[in-house]
Amino acid sequence: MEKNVIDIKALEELINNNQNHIIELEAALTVYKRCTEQVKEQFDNIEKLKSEMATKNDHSEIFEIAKKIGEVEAELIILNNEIEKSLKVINGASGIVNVNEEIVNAIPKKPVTEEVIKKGKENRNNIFKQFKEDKKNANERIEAAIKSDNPKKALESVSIRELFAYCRSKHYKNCYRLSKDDLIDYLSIHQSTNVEEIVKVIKKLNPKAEIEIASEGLNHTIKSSVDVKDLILPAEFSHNDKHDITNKHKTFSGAYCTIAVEPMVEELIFKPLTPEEPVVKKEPDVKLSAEQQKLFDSFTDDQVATIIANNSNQKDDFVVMSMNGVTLTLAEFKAAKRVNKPVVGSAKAEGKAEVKEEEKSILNIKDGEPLFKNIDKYDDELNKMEADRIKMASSKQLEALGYEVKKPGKAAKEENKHQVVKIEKVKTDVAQKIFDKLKAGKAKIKPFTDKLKDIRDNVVDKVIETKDNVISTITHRKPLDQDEISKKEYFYAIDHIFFPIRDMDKDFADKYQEQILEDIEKGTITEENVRNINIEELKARYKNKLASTDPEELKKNAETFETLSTLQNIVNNLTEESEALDNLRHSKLCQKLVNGLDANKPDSSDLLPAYLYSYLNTNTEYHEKAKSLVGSILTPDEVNQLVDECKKAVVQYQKEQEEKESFPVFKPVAV
Amino acid sequence: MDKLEAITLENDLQYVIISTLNHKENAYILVANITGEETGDELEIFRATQGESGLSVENIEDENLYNEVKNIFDEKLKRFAQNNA
Repeated sequence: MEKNVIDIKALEELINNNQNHIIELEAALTVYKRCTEQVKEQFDNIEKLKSEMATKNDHSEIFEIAKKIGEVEAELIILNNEIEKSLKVINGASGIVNVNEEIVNAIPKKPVTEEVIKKGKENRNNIFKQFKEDKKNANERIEAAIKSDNPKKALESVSIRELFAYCRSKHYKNCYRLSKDDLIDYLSIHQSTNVEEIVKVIKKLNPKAEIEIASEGLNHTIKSSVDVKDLILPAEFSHNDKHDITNKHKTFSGAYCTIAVEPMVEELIFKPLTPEEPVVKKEPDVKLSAEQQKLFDSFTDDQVATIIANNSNQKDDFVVMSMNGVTLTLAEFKAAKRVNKPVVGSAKAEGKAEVKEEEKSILNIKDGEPLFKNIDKYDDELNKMEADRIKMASSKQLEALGYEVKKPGKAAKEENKHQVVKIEKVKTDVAQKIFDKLKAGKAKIKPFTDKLKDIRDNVVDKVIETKDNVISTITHRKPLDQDEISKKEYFYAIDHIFFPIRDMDKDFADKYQEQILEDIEKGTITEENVRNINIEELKARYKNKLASTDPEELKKNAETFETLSTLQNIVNNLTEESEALDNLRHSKLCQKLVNGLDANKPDSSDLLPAYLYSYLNTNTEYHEKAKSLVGSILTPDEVNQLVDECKKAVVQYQKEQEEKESFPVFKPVAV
Repeated sequence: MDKLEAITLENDLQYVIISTLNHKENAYILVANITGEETGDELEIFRATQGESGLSVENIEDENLYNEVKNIFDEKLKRFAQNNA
């Protein structure tokens, strides 16, 4: 018997932190402690008895001691069941107890040693190797039985569980409600060309349908009260468009059979199939003695189910268990099970605990019982085991176990998920800070807000996308001089990059830019600190301002800026062959403004869009300056006219670019 | 304390896992952002999933569910503060 091992000290610590389940956990822990102590005692007892037995020569005395050992072993089984039950409660508390959490389990707590990996790999491989082998062997036996001269007889020795597993591997449908007997017919008729025999099986498989042979000879025809599409046909039989049932191309010999199906009723309307009621077999009334009951009680539900399933092909008087002179036949075993586990419905009426269908063991399959769920669960259970293993393992462990661990990629992004790319220990000082905050009750969980949702859905992803653009722009810039205009111009360059998110969250874009601008001003702008800009931090920092922004105004500014920042590109791409650009560049107003700006300060015509933007945007601190400078060159009407010209030119330019199948790519403006 | 783990997301954000929760067949994590210099006073909740491509996190879209999970975590935080006061 395998001993269960658990760190009681750690468990006690956990209980202290989880008041909600303390009673349940404590009770389980008490049982666990008591039982483990008793198990230890009983093991000692066995050892003592064995030593005592070694000193005896008399057969009757040896027999007496052996009997005692048997009793102690039975006691051990009961204790082990208790331990398992208490462990279930303890493990069931994983939702509350941090350490057992699925997610925490996915994170390696300790460095994965070679030994752990090797052991895990071996365990996993052994389980699945064994399962696959069992399945393969069973399928091979069934296959051989079907090919044999008397498939029906050969299949009788196969357990119903294996038969269903075989059906599942063959993707046979409609057979999961069949009893073992019917299932054998379903499988064994496969090779037949005997119409009578086939019809007999079809009748058996479809007890609610009225089926009779209409004509024999060259054209076999049957009449059916049920549409052929609704009939359960034997394995490898199918129906074609002509409503013929056939096993053509499915037989080993090549000989096949075709049976035409005609509707039985004259109105040519097929009756719909009503779902078959589960057959409840009347079981003989068997009573167990106290010793037999004690022996039966020493098994867990799963063990009982397994024993019944493994002996499903045995007769009722077959002795399934014998211990210390007490025996249990299959019938007694089944009867005891019924007494211990009342069927659904009746239990409720009697005021006993209801046993849910889902809680039944997957191996608990009885003849005549609807089996679809069970057979489904059988595979599901194995898939779950595998899934659990995967969930429990870190990517490193999975790799070590021979799984292909996909690197974070597109898939997660598409689902609006963020892939965890690295898991590591937290630095002690950081951990201490967090611990202190939690201890002081200072840390608060963010409330759910629409803003959070918006940012998640739209902005953050966009920012992340544009972050690389920012980095490349910044790092390709010339070192920043202290010219105020250059700083603004820098700002606009960044603003242009942030344009995709302006409509969605202009404030956010502004703050991000501001952060960069601050770094620029401090002369601390590097690729690293651009990458390190913390979106959440920025959001928190400008929280108040975010709420007070007028969205209409922002939108208006954004529209203006869009035009102007595109114009910035246009102005910089003077060599670009573009009719729209040529027209704009040579427009009277543009020339007037460019000349005026250059006259005021050499090369400042590069900042034409910036001046125009500031002139139009009354909110910027440079509005007054721009208004006075641009206003000294152009009249207000001329400015508006120029902006209109710019807008038109932008639209035209973009069309030209689309025609060229390439969109204008932002290029940093020259400082 | 030495049990604390940090996760780094593909968007370079780094979080410390404060607590975890199994709720309605999903796993949720309570995290503190440690991407910048500061460890944020505001904690966040993510739904965590273990998919084919590894561990991933996502925000909770449903406000009611978010609040349910938040209440449980709030309670846990409260107890933690009480137990360590």
